[in-house]
Amino acid sequence: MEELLGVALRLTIMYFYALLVLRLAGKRALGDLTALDFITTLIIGDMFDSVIFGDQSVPAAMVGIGSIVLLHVLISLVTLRNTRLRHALLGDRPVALVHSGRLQRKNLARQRIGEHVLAALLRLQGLDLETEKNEIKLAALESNGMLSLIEMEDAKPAQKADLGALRRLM
Amino acid sequence: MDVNELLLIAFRATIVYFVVLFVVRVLGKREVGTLTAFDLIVSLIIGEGVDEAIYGDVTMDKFLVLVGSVAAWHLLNSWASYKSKLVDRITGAEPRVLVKNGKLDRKALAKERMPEEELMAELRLMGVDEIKEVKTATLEQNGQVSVLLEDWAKPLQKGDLPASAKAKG
Repeated sequence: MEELLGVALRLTIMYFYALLVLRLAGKRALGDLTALDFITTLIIGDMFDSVIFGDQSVPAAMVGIGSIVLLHVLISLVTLRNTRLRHALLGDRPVALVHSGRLQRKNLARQRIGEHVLAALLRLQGLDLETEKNEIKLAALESNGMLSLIEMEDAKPAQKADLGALRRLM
Repeated sequence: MDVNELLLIAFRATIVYFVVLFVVRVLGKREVGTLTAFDLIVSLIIGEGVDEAIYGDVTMDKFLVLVGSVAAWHLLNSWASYKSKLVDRITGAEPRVLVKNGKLDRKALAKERMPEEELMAELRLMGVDEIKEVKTATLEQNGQVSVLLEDWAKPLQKGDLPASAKAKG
């Protein structure tokens, strides 16, 4: 019974600590993750477990988790304005995979992305690589591993403004 | 728990942090944003090792070996899958077409052990009203269903409008 209370108590303490810590770590630790956010979430995720079950003492866990978050915040601040440093440390420059309808083969090779994988990534965006290649202005692999897609002007969704003069006739 | 021990934990946490940072950096973007299950597994394995290392339950050299081995194998897997179609097929399930030209492929659905209800839910989540709107629906390697619409069902694009209409009036 006492053990169970211990678990409940530690859980409560760590829960509020987690809230505080995530607040400090910032929104992006929860949403789309850049490499930096990913690391932080990865590391602290596991650390909460062991303390809740009593394998580690609460102060030990707090120091451990706190250190990781502090490092995260520190690196975020340091790399915030210094672009060169950020690219060197985190490698988070987006990589163009398709530009103006043409496959960027060098980049694809460097990222070890085969053409069938590229096709799959584009399918997930609703685009058929074979037939609609020329609609792509830029398809880039972003730092969080997702593919961003920008269409050629004509392929963009129509806006009310495009109807222009026609609208007055309708 | 004395101050020295706590400081030691902070110190180990710092080392672990930069080790993981380096590994994630080296493995590259695709390993961070997942398309195959391996990426998730790697994260879990490293995550577990991190916990032990920070608290000192495992010595730092063992941790480095763990991380190094996992990273090395993952890199090898990634490279081999890229070079060889056979390896790719073994290590990652092939994408399977579930709907072709508006028609549901029940055999394919059965092979993936996916109930029709679930597929319809996925389509709805993509804003698809009727199955005939779908040219190709594919169950991708990462478990997501991708949808390519029939031409007539696609949203209107700027290029679809007659040129005269586009002139702002």
